[in-house]
Amino acid sequence: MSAWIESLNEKLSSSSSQVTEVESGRILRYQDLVKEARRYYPLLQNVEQHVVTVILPNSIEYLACYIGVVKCRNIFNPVPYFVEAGELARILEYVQPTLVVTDRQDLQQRFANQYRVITPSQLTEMGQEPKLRTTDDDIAALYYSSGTTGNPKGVLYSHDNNLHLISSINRGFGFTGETRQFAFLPFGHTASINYNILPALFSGGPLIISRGFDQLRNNFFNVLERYAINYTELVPSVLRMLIRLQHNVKNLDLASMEFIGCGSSTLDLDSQVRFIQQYGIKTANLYGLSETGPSHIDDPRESNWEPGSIGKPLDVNQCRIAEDGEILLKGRNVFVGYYKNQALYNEVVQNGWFQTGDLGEVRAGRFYFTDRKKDLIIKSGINIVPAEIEEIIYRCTDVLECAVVGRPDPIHGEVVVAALVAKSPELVHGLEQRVHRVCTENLSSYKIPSQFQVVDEIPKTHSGKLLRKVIRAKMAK
Amino acid sequence: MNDSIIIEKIKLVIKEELSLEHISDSASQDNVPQWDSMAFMSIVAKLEDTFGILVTADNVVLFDSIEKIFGEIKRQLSCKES
Repeated sequence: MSAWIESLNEKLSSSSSQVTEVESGRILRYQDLVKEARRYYPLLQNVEQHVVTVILPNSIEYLACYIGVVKCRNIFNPVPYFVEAGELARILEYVQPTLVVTDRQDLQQRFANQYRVITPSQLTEMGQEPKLRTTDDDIAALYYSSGTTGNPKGVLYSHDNNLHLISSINRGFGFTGETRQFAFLPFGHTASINYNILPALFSGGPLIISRGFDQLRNNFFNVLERYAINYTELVPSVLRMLIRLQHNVKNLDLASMEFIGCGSSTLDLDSQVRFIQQYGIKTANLYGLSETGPSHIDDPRESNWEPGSIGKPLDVNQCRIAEDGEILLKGRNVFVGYYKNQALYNEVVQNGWFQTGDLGEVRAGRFYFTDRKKDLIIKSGINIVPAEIEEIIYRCTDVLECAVVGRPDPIHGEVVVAALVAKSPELVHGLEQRVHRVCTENLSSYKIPSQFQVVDEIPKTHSGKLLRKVIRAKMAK
Repeated sequence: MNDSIIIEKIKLVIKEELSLEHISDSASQDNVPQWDSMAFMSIVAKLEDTFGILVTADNVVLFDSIEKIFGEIKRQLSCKES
């Protein structure tokens, strides 16, 4: 059995902690969560290292599904719950899952003819402990992303990766069996999985979960108080929203809150400082990628701590800055491959050093994120790849050229905007509406550009490469 | 500002933020899929700017449907006038 599963089994079966759903009030002991996971065994006993795509809301069921899938030696492939059917079709075509787990009826109807789709409520039979034994080299998870060039990529994360990453997080962040974690970011993203869910399960500490920030806008701090939360993770857009909403916390006892972690996109220093001043809660700046999980610990509990940096490397990995300023990481948290794409893996991992595509610097032992090297838009903490949207825009046959970039936004950090060139002058009229329609049919709503701008030409280099910095500057006006 | 102008302005903000061509008076987060948690934040910010209102933890739950938004904006505008 892999050391990851062995440790997880031991923690969950010996812990007296429980997982609590805030909205439903449902509570389940970890020992019973392991039993719940057995409902997945009959379906997965006889296959190994097959992909299981999971589209479920934040819930106890989600955790049971994770445990069931990985214990049966299969590969957990999380997809955000709000994914559009058209986008999911592309993901499924790429990952070719052996099973799709979802409670969304529209997805069940749409994909039932092509894939084996089940809803958790159909699983009533409890299975026996899996006969196939997991190994450290087994793949535990496949984290899908559209890829910076528009070609999909799937990050393969092994049992060994998980064991070393999560152990290191728990040491670095100081999570123990007593730490009360609150998870409300979408479970379909690695941030929630790596910062909240797996550390809590692995340490055997209590986990309180919410369906999402939609449910917490007016009572976020009350929930922190009610459940005596010690740690939670949020993204900059939620942090900025909380600042705007001016919650009154004067009468709340938030002494249990050790600190809040804020990650998934750049947290500006001004917001970080304002949040700390407004609510009196220490707030850390988190850094990590799907390929490595969280790589640093910015610990605001330290006496000489200052906001602004991403902190020091977790003990699972080394970090250095390359000559061109790129952040490089090396350790047992570095993923083991890209799904069906060894060439890409060889390109970004050299001599064990993973090239993050981010730029940074180090001062007095602390690391600072400075910019992104790759063409990525991060809206409300969610990575959006311009090439994926451009590919969809080109489906509108009236478009000659297009470029998608991010525009700074006070709420989301960045929003998506698109520059369009029409194939001929008579096609300019109504082009924005026609392109918008194509995007609506094929993209999840958060990826649809907030603005389409018809332009005469798109700035490019002599070799024809898009000059995204110039385009960004023009679209920012 | 009369009621119909307020409603039209609210609808315009929401249509622009959600990139929709049409939106009904009964639209809400429950029946418009594009009105997700991300869009919610943008809409709230735009409504604050457009109407000069304040959205706080105490009234934020009133901003998830056109009907409720209208009621809250009207209330805040009336308070200002008086």
